[in-house]
Amino acid sequence: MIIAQTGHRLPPGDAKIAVAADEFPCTGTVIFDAWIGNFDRHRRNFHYDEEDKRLYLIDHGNSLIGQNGISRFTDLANKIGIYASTHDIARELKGWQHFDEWEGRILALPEYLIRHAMEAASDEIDRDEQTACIDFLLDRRLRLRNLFAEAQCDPDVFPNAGSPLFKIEKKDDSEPDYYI
Amino acid sequence: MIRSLTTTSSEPSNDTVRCWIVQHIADSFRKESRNVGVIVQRGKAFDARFVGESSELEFDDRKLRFLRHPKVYRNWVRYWRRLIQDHEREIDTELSADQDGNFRVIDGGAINRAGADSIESICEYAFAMLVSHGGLGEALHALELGEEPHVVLRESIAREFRSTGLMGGSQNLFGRNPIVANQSIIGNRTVHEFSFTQRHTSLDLIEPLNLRTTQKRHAKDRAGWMAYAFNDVQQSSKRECEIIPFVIAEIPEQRDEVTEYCLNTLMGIATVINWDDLSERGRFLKERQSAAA
Repeated sequence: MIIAQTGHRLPPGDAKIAVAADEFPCTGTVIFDAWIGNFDRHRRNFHYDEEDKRLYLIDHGNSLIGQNGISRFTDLANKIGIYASTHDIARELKGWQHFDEWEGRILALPEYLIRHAMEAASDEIDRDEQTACIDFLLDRRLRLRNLFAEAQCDPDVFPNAGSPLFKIEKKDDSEPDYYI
Repeated sequence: MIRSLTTTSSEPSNDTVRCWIVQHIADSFRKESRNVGVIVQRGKAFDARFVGESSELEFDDRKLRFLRHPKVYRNWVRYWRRLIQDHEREIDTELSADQDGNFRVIDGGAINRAGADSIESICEYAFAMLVSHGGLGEALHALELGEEPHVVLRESIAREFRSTGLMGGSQNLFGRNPIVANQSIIGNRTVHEFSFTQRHTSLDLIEPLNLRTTQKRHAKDRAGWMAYAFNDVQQSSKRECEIIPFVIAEIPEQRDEVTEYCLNTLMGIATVINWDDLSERGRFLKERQSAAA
C-alpha cells in the first residue's frame, strides 16, 4: 500500500474512474470487503492510481469484529454486509464477469495463512476474538457465492449492476465444499 | 491594471475572484509549508496552476525534485483538477477536507479589482504572487511587461486544445488531423509562423488576440500583422487547399476605439471567436474536433 511506502496521505479515490479503467480489481475489492465484512469503502478509503493502474485499499477498521465485537458476526451471518451508500466501488460496479476469478482466489487461500494473519493481530484482538475471526473467514468464503447471488440485483447494494451480462448462480448445497 | 490580494473570504461573484493556496508540508511534525499551487474561482469558472506543470498540463519531473514522493503530488494535482471540473461537489468543503496530510489547501482570500481579466490571466498573476519565486515582479511582468500580452491567452488556448485531445504531439500520435503549434507556412512574399494550424480539407490558421490588454498599440500592431499574414498565405500561388483564418480574441465588454479598429481590420479576412463566450468557444472546439476526426 503506497501510504505505508511513502507515509503520505493519498487523494480521495474516484470509483467511477477506477471502474471505467479496470473493473477487475474493483470486483476483487467488493468481494474481498464482503468476505471480511467491511462496509466502509468511501472515497477516502481507496485510491486508484492512474499512473500505475493500481487500486490501493486503505483503512479496514470497520471489518471483521469492527467496533461491535464478536456479536457482529451474528449480524453478518446471512447478509452481504455492504451497501451502495457507504461503499463507493460497489455502487459503481457494472457487472460480474470477474466474480469467478476472485471467488477462486479467496477459496484458494491456504487455511494456515488466514490463521497466521489473525494470530499476527494478537496486539489488537484477544484469543477468543482471533478464533471467532478465523471461523468467520473460513465459513464465509464458502458462502460468498450465495450471498452475491442474492444481492447482485439489489439496487441498495449494486445499483449499477442491475442487468449483468454475467449472472452469479447460487451454489447447490449438495455439492461438496472445497478449500485448501 | 491594479489589483490587491486580501485575506477576506467572500462569496464568489463575477467581480470578486476567490483564491485557494495549495501547500506541501514535507515534514508533518515541523509543519513547515511551501506553496505549490493556486486555485482561483470567478463565478462558476475555475482555473488552477501547480508547480512542475506545463501549460499543456504535463509534469516536468525535473521541477519536482524538491518533493520526496513526486508521484503522490501528481496524484493530488489530478484530484484537484478533477475537483474544479466537477460542479456537483461543494468545492469549499472538499478543498478544506484534507488538512492533516502532506498536502493541504488553505483559503487564500479574494483578489479584488480584477476588472475584465480572464480567469487564466488572474490565475497566472496569483501563481506568480503566491507560489513562484518571482513574487510581485514576476506577477506584473507576466501581465503587463511580459513578452507580449497575448502569451497568456495562447497558453490558455493550448491548454484547452490539449485537454480536448486536439493538440498533436507525444500524447496524440494517432489523431488524423491534429492541431499543430508554431508551424511555418509559406506565403506569397515570405514565410509566416502561426500559433496554431490544423490541416484537413482546408488549412486553418488560428491566432490569439488579446484586446483587453492595456498595451493598445501592441494589439493594433498584432491585428495588422494578422491581416497581412493571412492575406499573404491566401495569395500564395503554391497553395492547393483553401486557407481559413481564425482569430481567438479576448474582447472587453465595453468596446473601445482600439477594439473596434482591430475587429474592423480583421473583418472579412478572419473569423473572430470570442473566447470569453463559452457557447462560442464550445462550438469552435466542436468544429475543431470534427475536423480532427
